[in-house]
Amino acid sequence: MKSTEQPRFTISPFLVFVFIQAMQFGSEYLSMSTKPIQWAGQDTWISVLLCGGCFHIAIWMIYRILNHNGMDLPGIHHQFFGRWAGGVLNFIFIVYFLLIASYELRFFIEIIQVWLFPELTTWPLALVMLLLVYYIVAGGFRVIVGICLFSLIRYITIFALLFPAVFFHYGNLSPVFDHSLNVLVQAGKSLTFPFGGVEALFFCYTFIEAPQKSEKWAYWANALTTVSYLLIILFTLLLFKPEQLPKEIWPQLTKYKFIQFPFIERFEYIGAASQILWVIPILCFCLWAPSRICKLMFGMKQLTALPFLFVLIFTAVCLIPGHESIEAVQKMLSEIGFYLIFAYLPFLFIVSVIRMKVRRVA
Amino acid sequence: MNGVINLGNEWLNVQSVPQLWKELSESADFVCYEHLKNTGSVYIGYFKSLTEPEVLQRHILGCLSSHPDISLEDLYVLIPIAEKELATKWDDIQNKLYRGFVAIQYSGQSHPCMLVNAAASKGRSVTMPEIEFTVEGPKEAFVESLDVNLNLIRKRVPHSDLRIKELTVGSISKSRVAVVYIHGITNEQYLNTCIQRIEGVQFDQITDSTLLQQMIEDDSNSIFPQTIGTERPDYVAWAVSSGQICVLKDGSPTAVFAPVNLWLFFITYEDYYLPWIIASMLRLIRMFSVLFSVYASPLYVAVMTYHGQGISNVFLPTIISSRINVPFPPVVEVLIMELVIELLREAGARLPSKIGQTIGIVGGIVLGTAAVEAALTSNFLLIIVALSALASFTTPIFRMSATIRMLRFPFIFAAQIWGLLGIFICTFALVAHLLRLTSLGMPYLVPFYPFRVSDLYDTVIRPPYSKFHHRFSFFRSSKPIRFDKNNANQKKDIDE
Repeated sequence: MKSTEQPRFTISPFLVFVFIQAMQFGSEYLSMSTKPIQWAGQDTWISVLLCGGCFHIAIWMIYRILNHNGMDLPGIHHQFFGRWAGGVLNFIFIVYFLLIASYELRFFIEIIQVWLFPELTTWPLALVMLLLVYYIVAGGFRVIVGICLFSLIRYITIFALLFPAVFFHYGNLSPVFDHSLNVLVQAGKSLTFPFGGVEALFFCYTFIEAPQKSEKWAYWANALTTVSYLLIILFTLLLFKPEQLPKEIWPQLTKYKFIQFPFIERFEYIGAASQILWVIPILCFCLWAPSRICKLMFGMKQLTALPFLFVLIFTAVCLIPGHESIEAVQKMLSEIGFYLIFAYLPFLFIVSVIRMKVRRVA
Repeated sequence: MNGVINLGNEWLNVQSVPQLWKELSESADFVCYEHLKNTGSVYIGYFKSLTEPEVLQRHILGCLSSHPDISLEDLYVLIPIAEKELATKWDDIQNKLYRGFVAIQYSGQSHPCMLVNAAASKGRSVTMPEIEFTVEGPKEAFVESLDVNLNLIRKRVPHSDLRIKELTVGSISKSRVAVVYIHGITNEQYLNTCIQRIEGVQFDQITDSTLLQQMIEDDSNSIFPQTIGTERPDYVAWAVSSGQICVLKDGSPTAVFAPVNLWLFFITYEDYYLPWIIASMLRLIRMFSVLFSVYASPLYVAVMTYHGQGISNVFLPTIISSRINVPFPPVVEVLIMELVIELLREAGARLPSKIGQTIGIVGGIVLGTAAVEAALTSNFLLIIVALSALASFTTPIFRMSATIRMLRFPFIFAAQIWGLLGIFICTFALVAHLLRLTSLGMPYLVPFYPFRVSDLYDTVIRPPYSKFHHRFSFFRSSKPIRFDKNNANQKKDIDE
C-alpha cells in the first residue's frame, strides 16, 4: 500500500525508526529517574521493561488502527465520530501538542538558566529557538525527520557514562524482586511520560512511503528507547543512594561532572548545551502536527497557521515562571499522556475493530 | 527578373543586398566589396576581425579569379572548404557572418547567398589546469573555445550514446551552450529540468558558464553552490559516465555539472588516481579541515567570553598570558584578525604578480608579528585564524571555499551572543538549510539523508574500484550497473 501524499514529501520506512526514537527520547529523561525510584527502589529497572512492553503493545494497536483505515488521525476522528465530535478531539490534540512544546522548551531554558547562563531571561532564548524551529518546520516533514537523524549524535554522550563507572556501587541493585507488583506498576505509571511520543505516528502515517513496512522499525525504536532508559535508571541506581535522590533535580546532568579530559576542565558546559539535541526534534514535530491538524480541519495553509501557534507557544513559555510551575505542567502532561495511551488508545482500537467487523458482516 | 531575399517577414529585392550590407558597414571591421565579372558582379562581405585572411585570399578569391564566369552552384561545389552553405534567410546570413563566415552574393538573378566558413580561431592553447592541478594524472584543461573543449571530452568518451545538445542563450551574447550527457545513463527528468532551465534564461549578456550556473540553480539565495564547475576534461568524462549532466559554454573554460550533493565538493579528481586508502585519508583530512575552519574561531570566542572556566589548568596560564595586553574583548579581536586575513586575500587576488609575492610576505609575516606586538591580538588567536584560513582552501572547488570563508561569521556572532549554545543553535540552522537544499531536484545531503546504505561507498571513504559496480542510485540512471560483479575474481584459499 502506498502513502497518500506525493512521493517527494514522503520518508522511507527506516526513517520511522529515527523519528519515533527522537519523539520518545525527549529531554525529560534528565529528571525521570527520581520518582520511579522513590516507588520501586532497586527494582525500577523491571518497571522500565514493563513500561516498554506496554508501549510495544500500544504501537501494535496504533498500527492496527492506522492500517485498517489507511489515513491519519484527524481523518479517523472525522470518520468515526462525525464532524463535530471529531473536531473537538482534533482540537484536544492541538492543545496537547502545544502544551508539550511549551513544556519542553521551558524545561530546556531552565537547564540553560541554571547550568550555563544564570542571568538569562526566558524570552530571548525562547524567541530564537522558536525562530529556528519555524525555519525547520517550514521546510516540511522531510526536513524534520532529517533533523531527527542529525540529532542521533546525542548518543555519543553515552560514553560520558564511562567516567562515573568507577564509582558505581553494584550492591545497590540487590536485593532483586523485593517490591510488590503494585509498587512496580506505580513506578511504571510515572514512567509513561518519558516513553510517550508514539502518538506522533498517528499524524505522520500518510507521509511514510510504505506504511505497513515501517511497523517493525517502530518496534525497534521503542526497543532502543527502552534500552536507553534502562541504562539511565541503572546509572542512577548505581551511583546514588535512595536518600540522595530527592535532592537531585537532574541526576543525569550530574554525570557530566565526572568527566575529566586533560584540556577541558568543566565538561558540563558542553553537556548542558547539548541538551538542545533532545529538544529540537520534539519542538519541530509539536509545531508541525498542530499546523497540519489546522490545515486538515479548517483548510487553511500550514504556513498561515504556524505564526499563530508560534505566538501561542511563546506566550505560554514566558508565562511559566519557575521550577514549581514547570513541575506542575509536567504532572498535568503526565496525566494527560497516561490517559491518552492507556484509555483513549484502546478505546479507539476497539471502535476500529468493531467497525471493521460490522463492515465485513454488512 | 529580380530575385528576392527573405528578410524575416519581409521580402526584399536582391538588388538592394548591398543596402543591407550597408547597415553592417557601420562597423569599421566589416568589409564589403564588389568583385566585377563579365556577367555581373559578385558581392563579398565579411568581418575582418572574425575571419582568417588566408582562407579568404587563397581559396575563395583564388577560385573566383581562376574561374571568371563560374555560376554560383559550380562555385559552391568548387570551393575547397568543408563548411559552406547556401542561405536565403537574412537572420541566418547575419548569424553566420558573426561567426566568421564569408558571404558571397551574386547580383542580377535570384540567387541564394553562399556562406563559407573562414573563421579565425584565436585563443589559448590547451595547457595545464591552474586551479585543479594534480600531481598524477592528465594535465589538460579546458580553453575558451567550445569546439576544442568538446574535442577534449569526446576523446575520452568515444561512445555512441554521448549526446551533445546545443542551445543559444543570451539576447546580446548569443552564446553557444552545449549540454553533454550519455543517453541511457542520465536520468531523463534531470536532463529535461536542466535543458528547460537553460532555455528559460532571459538575460542579455552571458559572459561565462558560471553565470549560467547561478541562473539555473535551484536556490539562488543559498551560499552553497548547487552545481560543480571544473576545468578538467577527465573529471567531466567521469561525471557523465556516472550519470550527471555537463554544461559547457563557448568562451568559458569552466564546465558546469549537475546534479551534485554536498560530499562531492570534498572530492578532488586526484582521489581517483591515488590508491584508495591514501585517497580516503586525504578526504577525511579535508572534511576535518573544513570543520576546523568553520568552528575554530567561534569556539575561541565562546570559550574565552563565557566558558573560561572550561579551559583546563594546564592550558590556562598560556592562554591568559597571551591575551594579557589585549584591550579588546575576544570577539572584537577575532573579527579584526578575520578581516585582516580577508583583506590580505582580496588584495592578493588583485595585485600584479611581480609585487604580489613581496606584499604577501610582508603582509603575512610582518603584519602578523606586528599585530601581536602591538597587542591587537594574541599569539594563540593568530595561529587559529591563520590555520582556519588555510584550512578553508582545502576544498578543491573554488566556490565552496568561498562559502566556507563566509560561513564562520554567523557562527562568530552566535558564539558572542550565547557561547556554546549559540554555536549549537547556529549548527542546527545550518543543518536545516542544507536539508532544504536540492540540486536539480536531488536532495543535497543524500546519501546521508535520505539514508541510502548502498550509496555510502564513495562519499566519505573511497573504496577500491572492485566495489564500484553500480552507479549512485540518487542519480536515478536507467543503467545503474557499471560492471557485473559476479564476473569478478573468485577468492582463493591459502596455497591454492
